[in-house]
Amino acid sequence: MLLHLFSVVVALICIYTVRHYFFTLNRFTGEQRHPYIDVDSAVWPAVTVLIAAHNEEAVVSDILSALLEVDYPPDKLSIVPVNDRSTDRTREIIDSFVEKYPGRITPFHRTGGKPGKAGALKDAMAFVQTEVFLVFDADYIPGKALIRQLVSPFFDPEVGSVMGRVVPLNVGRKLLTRLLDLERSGGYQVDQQARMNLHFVPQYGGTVAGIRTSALEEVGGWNENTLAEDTDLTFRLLLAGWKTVYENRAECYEEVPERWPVRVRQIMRWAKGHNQALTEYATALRRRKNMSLWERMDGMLLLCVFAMAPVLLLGWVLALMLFYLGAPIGGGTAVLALAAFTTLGNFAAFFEIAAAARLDGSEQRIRLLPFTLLGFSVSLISVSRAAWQQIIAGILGREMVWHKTERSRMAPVAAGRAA
Amino acid sequence: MNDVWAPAALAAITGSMVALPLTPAVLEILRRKDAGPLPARKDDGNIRNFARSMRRYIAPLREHLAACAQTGAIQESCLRDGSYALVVGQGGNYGASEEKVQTLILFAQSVSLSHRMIFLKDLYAAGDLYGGRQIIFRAVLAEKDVFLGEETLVARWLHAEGAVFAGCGSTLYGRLSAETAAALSTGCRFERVCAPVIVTTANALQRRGHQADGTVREFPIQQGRLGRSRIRGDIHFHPGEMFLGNIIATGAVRIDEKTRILGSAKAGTHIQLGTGAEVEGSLVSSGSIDIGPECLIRGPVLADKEIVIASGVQIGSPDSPATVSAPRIRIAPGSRVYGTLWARLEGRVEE
Repeated sequence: MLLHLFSVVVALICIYTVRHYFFTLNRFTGEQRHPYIDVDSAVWPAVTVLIAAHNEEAVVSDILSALLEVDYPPDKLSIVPVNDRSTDRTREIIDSFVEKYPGRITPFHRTGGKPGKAGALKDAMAFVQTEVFLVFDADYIPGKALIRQLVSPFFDPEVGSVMGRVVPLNVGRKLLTRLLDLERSGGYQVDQQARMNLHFVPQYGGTVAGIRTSALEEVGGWNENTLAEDTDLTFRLLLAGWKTVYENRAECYEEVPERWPVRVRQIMRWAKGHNQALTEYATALRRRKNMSLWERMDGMLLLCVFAMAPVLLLGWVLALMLFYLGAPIGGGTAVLALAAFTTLGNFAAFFEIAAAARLDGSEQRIRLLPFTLLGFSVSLISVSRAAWQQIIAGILGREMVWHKTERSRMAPVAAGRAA
Repeated sequence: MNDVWAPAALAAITGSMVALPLTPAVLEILRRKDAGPLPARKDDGNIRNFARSMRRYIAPLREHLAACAQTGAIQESCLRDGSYALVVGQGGNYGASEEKVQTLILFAQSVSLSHRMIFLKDLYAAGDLYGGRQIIFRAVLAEKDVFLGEETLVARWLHAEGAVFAGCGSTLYGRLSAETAAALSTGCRFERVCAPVIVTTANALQRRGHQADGTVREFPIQQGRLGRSRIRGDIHFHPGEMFLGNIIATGAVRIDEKTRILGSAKAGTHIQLGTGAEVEGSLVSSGSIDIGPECLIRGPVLADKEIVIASGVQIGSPDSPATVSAPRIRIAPGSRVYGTLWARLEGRVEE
């Protein structure tokens, strides 16, 4: 029984290993798809930009300033800061911009309703009168061409949502920020772009992102009952036959957590939200016939990605138990090989990060690769803990609580600094 | 003694072996040589950015240029970065003593260039620029029209405040932009072309006009949201049919002659338009797009592999510019694109 379970765990790890290598090699050797990046001349549609802001006094002025400077017809750009029950100076700062730039900004000061980003965005939809809208978190700093880059894929009638690339701004602050910078590189530069190349399932990431309003309405609008409205929407759109597109060159700066407790809370929320999506959409995804087999397989692997952390821990425990129980798993060499493999979880993920750093033209930061093991270990424990809490909450019928990621920015920043 | 030193040596050696691969990482943490954010795109991607940059670069020579235009003098001038520029005040024919021009050259008036000249640095023309055959330009900025002789090569970019007429067999690498029109002759190769109207013609220099045959056709604009139909496999619209909405097929989309799609079309493999078909929205294909003669398309035309455009096609209109983008584009003479033609690998004007 234990041996069979162990075999399943090893098989799952091997599947993800192959996936990582497949994606990485695709980025080096495969055909790179950027089909919408060259849309230069067009009748640009009217677009609404929603800025999710909950206690964002440290950062909200930066994004408003940046959005007022973007290269998009001003008469077609509606900026809506969604001030979600802020108790700091967020409202005051937004109102000062509204006064300074009359007619350019339409604020939504939300004073009640269900907590969480999905709830705030759901209420903010009353301000969206356009067929396309974009979503930014308040700590993001869009570049001049970003709006056009995120809107251009919507000329494709199959596209329901678009995701841009997130680039950490506060990289040099701490070891954690440097590790997150590498991790983000791997996730976007390799993972997301490979999925785009292969016509798989790029993930809508909830920020630096665009949505077709009619697609959102078709799938039932925002789901307030999820901790990861982005993953939830990715799969609802996929199941309804809408594509999510990744724009690797639509880059936008963000602030990554600078303290480990903040990072732990962030990744635990992602894990819980992702696992919610797993339980809700895995069956439908397996049965749905309106998409290719590859899309279904990639979608399933994407859904299960946060469930792999507890699976990996289980693998370690099983390996030890089987060893001490004297189970016939191929002798000491096999145990050592398995232990070496599973201790690092999956070297392919590190290869992916190294490849991303190479693709980004990074020179020295790739040297930090050994330390990503630290970030990986923290994530492994946090995600497993989140899964455990989720199981307990499910049994006890507790509602999961949304936690906002704490910001560290103290002063306005100059976006676009060279590395 | 060994009881102490042996374990200590073992610990030291083991520790060193563990620490060795971490040394570069620790050094990078301490020295922070690569600790800045990755550079994100800052510019707005405007095709005219190189031209604007050059205009700023030569701005200090404006007065000198005007003075030379009055006297007809040819003088050397020094720029802020210490490099030299040749300011040519006289108009008319210009033939350098050597075939290769090694400095930045600024023409204060309209000028005609001899055949087979090679400009190793950028060229500025305050008036019209008439190029002879087989000239090689590095980059060109002209304040009026530009006429490129047969088999001209532009290596980096060209911008004209007026129109650009490219002779047969010209090769236009990089960016080509014009404020009024661009006319490309048969045999031209291009990468990125942007103008209010881009026409392809048998010989742009003979016509010296930028109107392709036929009149501009206007589009009936649909208001409101369109529904979508998603088909697994191929879809075929028969001649003369009309479809209201967006059509998406995982396979091929075939739109026969005189068929009207009042929406956009997307194909997983291939799109084929018959003669005189009309698409009010965009055309997007994960494979290739084949546009038959006399077709009318309002929105962007995007393909992952290749776009082939026959003669008499109109894409976009004066009021609704559009982009045609694919790794390879082949366009026949007699077609017209309002906006941008962008071939990431190679574009050709050919029959």
